Amino acid sequence: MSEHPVTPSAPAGDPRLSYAYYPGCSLHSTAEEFDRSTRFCADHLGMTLSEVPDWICCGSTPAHMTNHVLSLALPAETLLQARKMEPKPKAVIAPCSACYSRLRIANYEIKEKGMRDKVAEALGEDYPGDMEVRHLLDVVVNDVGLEAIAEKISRHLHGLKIASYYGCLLTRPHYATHFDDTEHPTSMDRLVEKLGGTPVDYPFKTDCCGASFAFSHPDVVWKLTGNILKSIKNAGAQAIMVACPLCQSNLDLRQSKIAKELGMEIDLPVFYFTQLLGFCLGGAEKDLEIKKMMISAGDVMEELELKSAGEVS
Amino acid sequence: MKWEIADLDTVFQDEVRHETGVDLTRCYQCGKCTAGCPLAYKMDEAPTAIMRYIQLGLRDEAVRANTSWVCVSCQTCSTRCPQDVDIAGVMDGLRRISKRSGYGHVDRIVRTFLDVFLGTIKRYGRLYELGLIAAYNIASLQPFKDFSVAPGMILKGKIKFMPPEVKTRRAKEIFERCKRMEGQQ
Repeated sequence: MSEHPVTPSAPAGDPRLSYAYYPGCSLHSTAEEFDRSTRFCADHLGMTLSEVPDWICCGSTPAHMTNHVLSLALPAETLLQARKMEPKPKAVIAPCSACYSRLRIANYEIKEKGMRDKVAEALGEDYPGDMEVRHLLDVVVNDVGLEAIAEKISRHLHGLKIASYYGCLLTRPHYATHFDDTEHPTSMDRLVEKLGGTPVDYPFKTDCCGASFAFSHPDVVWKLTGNILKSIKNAGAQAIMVACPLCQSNLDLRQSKIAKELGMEIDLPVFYFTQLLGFCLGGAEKDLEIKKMMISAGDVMEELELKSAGEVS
Repeated sequence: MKWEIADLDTVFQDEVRHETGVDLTRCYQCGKCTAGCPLAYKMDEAPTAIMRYIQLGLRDEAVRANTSWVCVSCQTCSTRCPQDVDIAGVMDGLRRISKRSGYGHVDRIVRTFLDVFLGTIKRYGRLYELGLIAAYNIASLQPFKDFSVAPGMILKGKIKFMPPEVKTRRAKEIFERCKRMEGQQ
C-alpha cells in the first residue's frame, strides 16, 4: 500500500462523535494493528477517542470462572475511571468483543441483579453502573452511519467476497448486548456492502471459535475454528472480516495448522473490519498494518490496489 | 428411578441460586442448551442433565462431571433458553464451587491457566502476554507449547517483551478485597 500517494488528512472532529476509549489488553499487544486501524478510522470519520486513564484488564473469562464479584469489579473499575473523565464521556467504546461483553455484564448485574453493594465493597467506592458501553462496530455502523461512511470513502472493495465472522460475545449474552441480532447479526455484512464488497453468507457466523481454549485445550480450537474456516472456504469467500482480537487470533494464527489437519487449502486473510474500512478511507500500511497478519493478505491487497488505482485522483 | 417431589433435597439448588442468582426451577428440560452446545461432544454429561441434577439435589452427579470445565462460555445456551435460564452462568457457578471447595471435577490445565492469567492481572493491572505464556507453559509442564507459532509472532512484532506499565495499583487492591470477601462468606 506504500504506492498510495499520501494519506488524506483527517477532517475536524464532530463533537457528537466524542467517546471514551478502552482498548483492552490485546490491542496493546497481539492486536496492535486493530488499535492502530481503529484510531485511523476514528480520525477519518470525525470521531474523537480519549483513552480511559489507568484502565485495567476486564478480567475476561478467567475472572468469571473464578470469582463472581471480581469478574464485575475489574470492568467496573475502568468504567468508574471513565465516569470521572472531564467532560463526562457519553459512552466508553470497546473494540474487543470479550471486553465489551464483560463491561456490559458488569453494568447489567450492578443495575439489575443487585450486585452494586458488593462491587462497591470490592472497589472501595460506589459505581452505580451507569457508564454506557458500546462496541466499536456499533458506533461505526449506527452513530457515524453507513451513509456518512459511503460519502467519506475514497476507495472501494470492488466486489471482494468477504465472510463476516461475528463470534460469540459481540451479540451474546442477549441480556447484556444490544445492537444486533443474537443469531443472525448483519452489521458487518451491511458495512461490507457499503464499502463495495460482496458479503458471503455461511452458517457458522456466530459459532464459537474455542476462545481461550487455545491455551488449555488447543484440540477444541482446531475443531471449532476448523468448522468455521471450512464453512467460509466452501462458501467461496476470498477474505474474512472480524471485530474481535480473540476471534482474529484463532482464525489467523491457528489457520495453517488447521488447514494441515483438515487436509485442505484455506489461505484466507483475516482482517479487522477497521483495516478494510481504513483502506477505503485511504489508509496506508503504516495506518493499517495489514502485514502483521499471519496469513498474508498480499494478493488480495494487490488486486484492490490495482482496481483502486483508477479511482484515486 | 421414582422421585417424590416432597423428598427433593433443595439444599444444592439453593446453593447454586445463591452463587449465580439463577432459579433452576424454571428449567423444563427441553434440551435446547445441549442441542446448541459446541462442546457437548466432550462432556461427560449434557448441560440439560446437569440442570436436572441440580433440580433433584444430586450434588455429586453435578460437580463430578467434567461439563462445567469443558464449557467455553460462548453463551449460546443462555441465549437460546426459552425459559431464560442462564445456563452458562450456572456452569460458571459450578466451576467456582468446585474450585473453592476442591470437591468434584477440576480441570487441572484450565485451572492453571486461570490462576496464571489472574496472577499477571493482579501484578501488572493488564495482561502481560509473554509473561502469561511463559508462566503458564512452566506451570502446566509443557514448556515448548506454541513454539511453532512463536517465531512468526515475534517477526510480526505481535509479542511485547516488556510487561505493561500501569501506574495504578487498583487491580491489586480489588483482588485483595475480593479474596477477603470470599473468605467472609
